[in-house]
Amino acid sequence: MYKMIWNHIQKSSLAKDKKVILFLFCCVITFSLLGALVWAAAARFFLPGVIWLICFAGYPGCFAGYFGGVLFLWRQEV
Amino acid sequence: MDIFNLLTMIGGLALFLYGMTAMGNGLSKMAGGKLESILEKLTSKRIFAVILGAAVTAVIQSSSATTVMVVGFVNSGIMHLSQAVGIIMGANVGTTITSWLLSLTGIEGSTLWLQLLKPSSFSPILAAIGIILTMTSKEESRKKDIGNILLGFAILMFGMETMSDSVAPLADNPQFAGILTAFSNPILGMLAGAVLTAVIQSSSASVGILQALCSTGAVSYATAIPIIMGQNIGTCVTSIISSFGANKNAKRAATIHLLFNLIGTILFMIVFYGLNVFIDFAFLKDSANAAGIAVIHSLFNIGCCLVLYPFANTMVKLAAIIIPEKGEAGQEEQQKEIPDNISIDERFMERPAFAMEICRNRTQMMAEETVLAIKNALSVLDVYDRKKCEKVYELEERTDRYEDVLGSYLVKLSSKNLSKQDSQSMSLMLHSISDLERIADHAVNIVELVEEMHKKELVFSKTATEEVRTLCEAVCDIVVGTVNSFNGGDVAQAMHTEPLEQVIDGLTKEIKKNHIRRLRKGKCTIELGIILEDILSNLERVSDHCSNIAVELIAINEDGYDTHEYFNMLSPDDLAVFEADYEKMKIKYSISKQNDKMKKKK
Repeated sequence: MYKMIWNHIQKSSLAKDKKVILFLFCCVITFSLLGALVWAAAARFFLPGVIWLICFAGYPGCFAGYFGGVLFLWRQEV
Repeated sequence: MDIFNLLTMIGGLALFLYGMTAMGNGLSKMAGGKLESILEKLTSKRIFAVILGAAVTAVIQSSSATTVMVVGFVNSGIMHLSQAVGIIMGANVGTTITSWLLSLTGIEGSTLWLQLLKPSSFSPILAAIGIILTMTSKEESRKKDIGNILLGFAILMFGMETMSDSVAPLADNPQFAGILTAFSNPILGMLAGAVLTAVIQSSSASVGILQALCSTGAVSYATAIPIIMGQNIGTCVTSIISSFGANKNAKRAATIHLLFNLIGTILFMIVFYGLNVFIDFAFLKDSANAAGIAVIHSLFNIGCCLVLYPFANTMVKLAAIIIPEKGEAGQEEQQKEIPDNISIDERFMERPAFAMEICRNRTQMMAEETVLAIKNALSVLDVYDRKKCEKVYELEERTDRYEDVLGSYLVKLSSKNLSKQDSQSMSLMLHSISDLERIADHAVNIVELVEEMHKKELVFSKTATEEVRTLCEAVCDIVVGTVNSFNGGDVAQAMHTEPLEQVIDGLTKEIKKNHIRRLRKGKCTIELGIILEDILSNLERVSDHCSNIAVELIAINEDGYDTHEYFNMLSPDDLAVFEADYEKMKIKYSISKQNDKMKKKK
């Protein structure tokens, strides 16, 4: 997932630091949306409510999206 | 709560953040880079690292600043990861001091002493003292720094009070109460704390905002605790951002910061809420106050430090697994990443006083390597040694690198807010590094001439050899004396340089005259004469550069001193000392007495 997003962003002509910011932003949004989709599927059966939507979207966005994205960039020697 | 309350809250938050920054900067400036130097040097044992990390963070009021510094230290190779772990743990503890300062806003009571302890009572007095000190002090003095610190503290407290007053109407707002009840879900609360702190990049500030919200009475401990946990994770964002562009070890340092806070938070949440299932902590439903927030913040960070301290090495290994070396390519890269102990990390510019300490240290190292270069060059003039010749070339390359690194770094640093002493140091360093680099160049020139003589099997006459040896002793003395005075800031020692420089000028002329006499009598060849001329010229220029450094040092210490008017500026007493020095050194390095002795022996 990270590699796919990074490869797309690498094709742009932005400066390196802007690419990093855009990559992390895209990762956060992507993983937040994925989390929200998981909630949408799960909410019918358990954990309904806005609070759980925020948690399902927020945690993947924060940890997998932001911190995971940072880790990916570090390993890419960026 | 209406729009005006919201604007007041935003204004209060702005003042709060500004006050915190101003106070931290003022404390850091007053410490003059010494705190960071202590961190750099005295963290060989982990327990010292923890204590010093806590102390430094408590003074500069920012764990983010301390961890960014640690990333810089590790990136420069000044510090190992195992030392960095201790400082990171200590920084987390030290940052809790701000929440205790801010908890003063929650003091309630009608007795005189309690009234005096309230920030609304003493911060206007501190502000008044601060503005008087600032306005009546000279530019860049200690008094002014103290004034700025007091003003920063007063603004911080005023901002905090403004925020607390602006959110007070929320106490009766059912929607606000509903939102806060939602945050009592620990999973949501932790996320909210992490996101808020990641955005404002200061755990002290986000704890302060939480303490301000506590004044509404609507924030319970059940709401506050997970938010505080999340704040510790959000604060890692700053060190992560600073590690981009750094080497692997620096990234591992940022990873350790994240791991420490993440593991600590997860452990605490599991233990606390696990126990809550069985024990049902009654205080969770109570309204939190500012002091309670400070207690929880401190207990959590101290607890994490105590629990994870024995596992520091494990965290270093974990960081190495998360950011691994990449096989053979990784080893090559690791070789490239080994710092050359000359470069200076740009992250240190965030703390200009400390960056200046590093620059002073590098300049002293440059000066010492220059002395070594010239000593080796003068030694091979006497007795040829291939290894010493190679050492001179190596040292000259290093001084070139020092000049390059220091020159560009100091120019960038000149735009930062520096104290008067640091600005003067900077001026001295910028002048001196080019002179030191030129001295090393002359050392190489001398070595090249010696190698030419060695290759052609040319040897100076005994008389010429003795004369050159005397000159070399004088040049060695002037270089060592100048570098000692430069490194120690010793103006008295620097005053001895110019008389010796004049003696060396005189000696050079005398040696040239004696050589021409020998040339006329056929006792010397033209080829040797040219080499001797070049050697004398290089030695004379070395002493000129030493004179430049010494006069600049004297000039810096006496404001408004014109370096070109050295003799005009000497007082009658100074002139007497100068002349006495000159006569003494003229006798010490006299070649005419030596020539007489040699004639008598024959």
